[in-house]
This record gives sequence, structure tokens and C-alpha cells, in this order.
Amino acid sequence: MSKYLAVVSNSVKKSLVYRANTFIMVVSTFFSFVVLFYFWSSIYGQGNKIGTYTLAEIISYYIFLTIFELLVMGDGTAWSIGDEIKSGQITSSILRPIKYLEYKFSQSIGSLLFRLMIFSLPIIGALLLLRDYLVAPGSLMVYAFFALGAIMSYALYFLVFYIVGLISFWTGDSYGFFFAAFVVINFMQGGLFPLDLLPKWFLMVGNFLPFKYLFFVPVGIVTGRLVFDYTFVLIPVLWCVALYFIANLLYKKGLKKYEGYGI
Amino acid sequence: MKKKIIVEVKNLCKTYEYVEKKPGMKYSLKNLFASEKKQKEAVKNISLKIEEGELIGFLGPNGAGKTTTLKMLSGVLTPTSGTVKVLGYEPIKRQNEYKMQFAFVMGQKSQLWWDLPPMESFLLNKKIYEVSDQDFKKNLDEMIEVLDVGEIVNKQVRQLSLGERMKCELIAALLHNPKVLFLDEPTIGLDVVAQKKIRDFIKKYNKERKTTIILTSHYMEDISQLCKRIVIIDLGKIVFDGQLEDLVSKYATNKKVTIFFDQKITRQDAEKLGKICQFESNKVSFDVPRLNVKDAVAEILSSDFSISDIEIDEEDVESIIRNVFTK
Amino acid sequence: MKDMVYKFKKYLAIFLQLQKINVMRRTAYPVAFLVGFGTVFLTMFLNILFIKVNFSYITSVAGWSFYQVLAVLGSYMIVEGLMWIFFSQLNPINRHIIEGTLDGILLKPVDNQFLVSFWRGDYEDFARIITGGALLLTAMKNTIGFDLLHFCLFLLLLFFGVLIFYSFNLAIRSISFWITEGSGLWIFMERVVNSSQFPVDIYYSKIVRGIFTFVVPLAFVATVPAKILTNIAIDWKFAVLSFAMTLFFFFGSRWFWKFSLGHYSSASS
Repeated sequence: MSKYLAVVSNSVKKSLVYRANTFIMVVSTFFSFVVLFYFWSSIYGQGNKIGTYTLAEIISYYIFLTIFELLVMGDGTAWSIGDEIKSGQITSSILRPIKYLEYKFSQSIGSLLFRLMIFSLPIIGALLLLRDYLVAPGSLMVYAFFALGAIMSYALYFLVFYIVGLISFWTGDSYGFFFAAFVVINFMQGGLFPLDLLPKWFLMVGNFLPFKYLFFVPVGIVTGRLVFDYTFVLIPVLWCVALYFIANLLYKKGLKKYEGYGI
Repeated sequence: MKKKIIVEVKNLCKTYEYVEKKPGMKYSLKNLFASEKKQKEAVKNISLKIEEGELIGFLGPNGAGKTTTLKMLSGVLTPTSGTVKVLGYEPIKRQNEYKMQFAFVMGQKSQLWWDLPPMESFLLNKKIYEVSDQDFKKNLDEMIEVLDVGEIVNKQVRQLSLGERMKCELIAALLHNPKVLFLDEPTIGLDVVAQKKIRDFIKKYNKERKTTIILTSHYMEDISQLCKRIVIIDLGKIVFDGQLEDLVSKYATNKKVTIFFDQKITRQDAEKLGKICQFESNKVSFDVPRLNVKDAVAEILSSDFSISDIEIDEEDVESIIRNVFTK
Repeated sequence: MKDMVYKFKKYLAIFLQLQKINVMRRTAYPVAFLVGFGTVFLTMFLNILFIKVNFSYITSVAGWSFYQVLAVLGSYMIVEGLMWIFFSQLNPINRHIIEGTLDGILLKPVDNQFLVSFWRGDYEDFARIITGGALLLTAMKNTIGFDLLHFCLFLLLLFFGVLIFYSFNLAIRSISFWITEGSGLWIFMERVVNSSQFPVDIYYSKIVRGIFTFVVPLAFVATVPAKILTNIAIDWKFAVLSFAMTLFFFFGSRWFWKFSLGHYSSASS
């Protein structure tokens, strides 16, 4: 356990060096939020309505999206794996007495802790500022379900981008590919707009894919738009197990292919 | 006839600020809110003059201030104090007339486009330095021949070996026939054969074109093979500036006396004769103070061992320089 | 005069060689190029989808009809496309600083702002120009139709938009000379760029609209050109203001770039 903790702590320390970047991140994210805030407010101000959403609900959706962006989406797992594959550093992971997936997960946890530390103050400040727009859950149970959903989301997010990163064993120069994957996943998780604004059939397809459990479902629970259902846990758990096996398989295959080059 | 002074440096100093990073979570957290700024004097009061056509070597360990000095000579960095004049220009004004007349090659930083053949980078430099078609062709053909890179210039840079890449870096830098050439660690990371090729080229180029070349390196060999005049820099200060021979006479306190014995000799026996620097059963080298050589040799000859031969050499340059730095 | 012509020819030759290099560089990896091209198309499609989904519930936002909003989106795509194709969104500036390759550029006998700006370009972002162009045609057809005066004025304003945007970007990037780890600045610029796809009239608060017009000059990037293209009445006030802002931002950012560069060379190692 202590070796995992060491990786976690190193990862936090590494992130701390980037002080200015942290500040820029907060300003940038806030900037984007302000733009969308006015976009929706302007629509609702004219007496219009988007779908079944109230203004508070749609603003809340974007508040949570912003928090999700700051805390989870900044995780660079895929990018760092891509770099390690490109530079050949990944071969040294065989020499480490720690499984690569677990090593990367520890790193990811480390940078999550760092972001929690850094961003919690600005986030709390923003929440207070926007409290009139915030749809708060009515019961403690909802908070508990949300926490469950958030944990599922984090595990899934890590696994999905771990796999995306490993694909650079086959794609080589992979930044373009990462970006493509990111764009698609972001859309499928509801990162552009709430998925229930789209036609019903789209939601049906999405039910069986892992992506909407990354963001759309947990935030639906906490804003009270989705009533908790056992499938909200079952499907992501099944996906986690499946992705875990796929990830390990890909790592093995990829490494073998890689060694074939004699690097 | 007195030669033209190309570079004139007076009391040059450079200090910069940096943030100290100590290990440990506590410091990382502290750093987040207030980082301690420290000052480092990279170059302290350097003065020198360089004449036209000289090939001069800056020698010193990593972080001695060699590169910082070159960067001030070329105009990348602003001196904290002191004056620099190169070809009559003040480098930090960054006039284009000045930039047209020198070139700067950095061993660790490429100016070639990674994913393209070097030829494209040459063409870009041709346009940047306003080289005419004839001059471009003449210079290029000549260098391609001397450096033997005819096949390479149309291959992607990323596929080149380090040595091949360095050759192309040199070509890219020399297309506009600069009057002054700054070479920062041109042989770093190269194998011995490639190092020699690069060295030979630099030597030849300096001889034929009378280009003033200032070279930094921490390889002794580069300097001793190429440069008549060396400047040794340590901790931002010039510790020696002069001809290679002067360095030897000034800092070589010892000579190396090698005795060839007829039979094998034990280390203990040899130790009685003097301070050993190399020991091989019947061949032993001693470090002997220059003034005592005669006496020491006489003493050894009068000992009981039978001796077949004696050699007396200067200390090798590398150990002399080590002497300079350890002082 | 002869000097000027000579100088112009020199810079044109360098520009053309850099374009050749960048086309070759990007197409050296055909698969990566196609993936990039496809991804850009995809993001453009999603941008349109966002507007489309919203407009399936509403008919106008802040006085802008669907096709007028499309014109804003189209202008934004073209401005951003040009920023990527010619300047790689100025991202290389931060990279040069981090990797230490900026020194090599500073030593070249060419204006360093020119060289750094045009050094890299990403030609796969041509996808933005294509999509943006298609949107503009659709928008024009469904609003006031083609009108030469409107169209020429639009092109001119779009050109100002590119210049203003480039200058703002350059000023932001120059900050990286002061903070050593400015790699996060690209995220900020990314957000700013993306935000210009909405008409600035959505900022009903006067202060916020003022900020987005004069401090972060998003209004001139897409809103002002799109307004000219899709409205019969020509808003001359904004056209003139756009020109004034172009001058101010262009020369202001150039000054700040040089000022920051001076700081860099006296503080760095």
C-alpha cells in the first residue's frame, strides 16, 4: 500500500509546481461558464424554455459540468500514457514492482487530490455566488446516491481514458486520436448539453454505453431530474469490470507488439 | 600587421533569479503560496578580446557559465552589467545587420524541422538570410561534399543519427557564410568517430574561411584538438585565458616519469621509489614535481632494480585541467 | 521605396517557404492528418448541433434568428480556422519557451514576431473554413441574400476580426514570459476562442457586454461581421469601431510582445 501512497504523493507534488497554471485553469473555466450562463439566461429572460428544464435546472447542470471539468476532466491519464509509449518509457513499467494500471490509477488519484485541494475554495465561492440558481437535492438519500454515482463515474472515467491512452500502442502519434476520442466521449457524457434534449432513441442507445454514467446520470441524480434506479449502479459496475479486463488485455498485447520493435 | 578585434567583452556579469525547490510535501505546499526567489550569479566579471579568425574554446564543467556567455555575445540574453561588442555591434540591440553576420549552433537544440528533410530547413534559412541562389548552391555543395551528407539531406531529420543531424545543423548555420560562429557543445552525445568528423570540419572551415569561431565544450578533446587559445571558466569566472602551451607550463606542476623494469616488481617496492600514478607489474609511472625530475630519476637509476628504459612526459592536458578546477 | 519592395519580397518568400514546410509537415503523417481533419469536422458539427438543439425549442436569442446565429458561428469558424492554419493558434510560443527553442528564432535576422507567429500552422483546420463557409452561404441565403456591398464589408470586418483576435492572443501569450510555466494559457485562449461563437448581445448586463467588446474583444471576431452580413441596415458605427480596435490591439500587442521579450532576456538563463 505504501508504494501506492508514494506515487500518489509524488503526483500531488508534481502538480503543485504549476501554480500559475492552476490560476489560469480557474479563470478559464469560469470564463466559459459566464458565457453559457448568459446564453441561457438570455433565452429564459425572453420567456422561452429549453425542453423541460427550468433556468435553475439548466444553470445547475452547467455548474456541475464546470466542477466536473475542473476535478475530473483535467486528468491527463491518456496523454501521459501516450507520452510514455512514444518516449519508450513504458518499457520501464515492466521493471517496476507495481502493476501499470494501478500505478496510473495512483497517479490519477494523486492529481485528483491535488485538484480537490486547489479548486475546492474557488468552487465553494462560486457555489455561494450562484446559490439562487442551484437546485439542491431534497433528501440525504439523494446525496448518498450521488456519491455512489460520482465514485462510479471516476472509476469509469479513469478506465476509459486509460484504454484510450493504450491505443497509442497501435496509433503511434496519437494526440489527434486522443482529441477525437475526447470530443466524442465529452458529447456522449452530456458535456455539450443535457442528453435528454436529444431525441429519445439517442438516449436508448446511450443507456447501454458507459458514457452517460460519467456525467449525465450522476448530475441527473443530484439535480433531482433522474429518480435513482438500480441500473444506475449495475450498468456502470458491469462496464467497470469489462473495461478492467479489456484494459489489462490491451496492455499485454500492446507491450508485446512494442517489444517486437526491439525498443 | 595587427589583427582586427572581433569580440570585446568588458566586466561582463549576469545574475538571474530562480525559485528554489526543496523536496517534501511541506515545501511543495508552501511554494504554492509564496516561492522563495534566489539569485544566481552565472557570469562574474568576465573580460576578453577575440581577434579575427581565432578559434577559441570555452572550457568548463556544466553550469560554469559558458552558454550564458555565448548567449550574451549573440544577443539572446541581456547582461546584468558590463559591455559586449561583437563586430562593432552591441548584440542586445538585436539589429538585423548584426544577426546576418553570425550563426549560433546549439548541440542540444535543433533548428531543423523534425518531420522534414534538412533541405527544407536550408531553404528557409536561405530566405531568412537573403542568400543568393549561386552562393546557396556553392556553399551547400561544398559543405555536402566535405561532410559527406549527399544522401542525407533528403531524408527526414527524425530518421537521421545524432552525428548526421549535427552535420546538417552546421550546414544550416553556415549557409550565409557568417563572420562569427558560436558553437555551443557541438559534439555533445556523439560517438568518437562522429566527434572527430565534426572537429575536422570545424578546423578546416576556420582555416579556409577565416571565420572567428567560439566554441564551448566540456570535452577536453574538442578543445585541445581544435583551439590554440582556451578560456577556462569555472563558477562564472575566467580561471585561465591563454595558449594551450601556457596552460601546460603554468599548471602542469608535475612530469610523468615512466620506468620500464626488466623483471616484475611489487607495488610495495615501487612505492618506495616515488608517487605512483600508473602501475603495471613491470611498467610504473610516477608523478614527479617538475623541479625534482633530475634528482628523482638519478635516485631511481641508482636503486637495486634493473631498468630497461625511461620515459619523461608532460602530464596529459586533462589532468592539468582537473588541477585547475580543484584549485 | 525600393527597400520596402525588397523587404516585402523577402518576407513573402519566408512566408511561402513556411507554408510549404507546414503543409509537408502535417501531411508527413497522412493518418494523423486525416484523423485531425475528421475531428475538426466533428467538433464543427457538434457546434452546429448545439445551436440546432436549442433552436428546436426557441425561435430567437437576444434578437438573433437561427440563421443569424449560424452566421455568427460561421464567422467564428473561419476566424478560428485562419488562426490555426497560419499561426497554429500561437500555441508554439509557449512551446518555444518551455523547450528553449525560442532563442534560435530570436537570433534570426527577421522580425521575431513575424517569425514566431508564422512558424507553425495546422492545415487540417481547413475543415473549419469549409464548414464556416457553408454556414455563411446558408445564413446569407436565408436572410438578406447576396449583396456585394454587405459581402465586401463583411470580408473586411472578418479580416479585422482575425487581426484583433491574433493581437489579443499574442498579448495573452506574451504573459508566458513573465510566469515561466504558462503552458495553461492555451486553455484560456481556447475558452475565449470558443466563446466568440455566440452573439455578444446575449450579455444583457451592460458591464459584461462592455468587457466582451473592449477588454476581451469577442464582439469584433464574429458578431460584428455576422451582423453586417445578415442585416439590411448597415451598422457603420461598429464597422468604424472595429477598425479602431484593430489598430489599437495590433500595435498594443506588438508593444507588449517586445516589452515582455525584453524581460525574458534579462531574467532567464
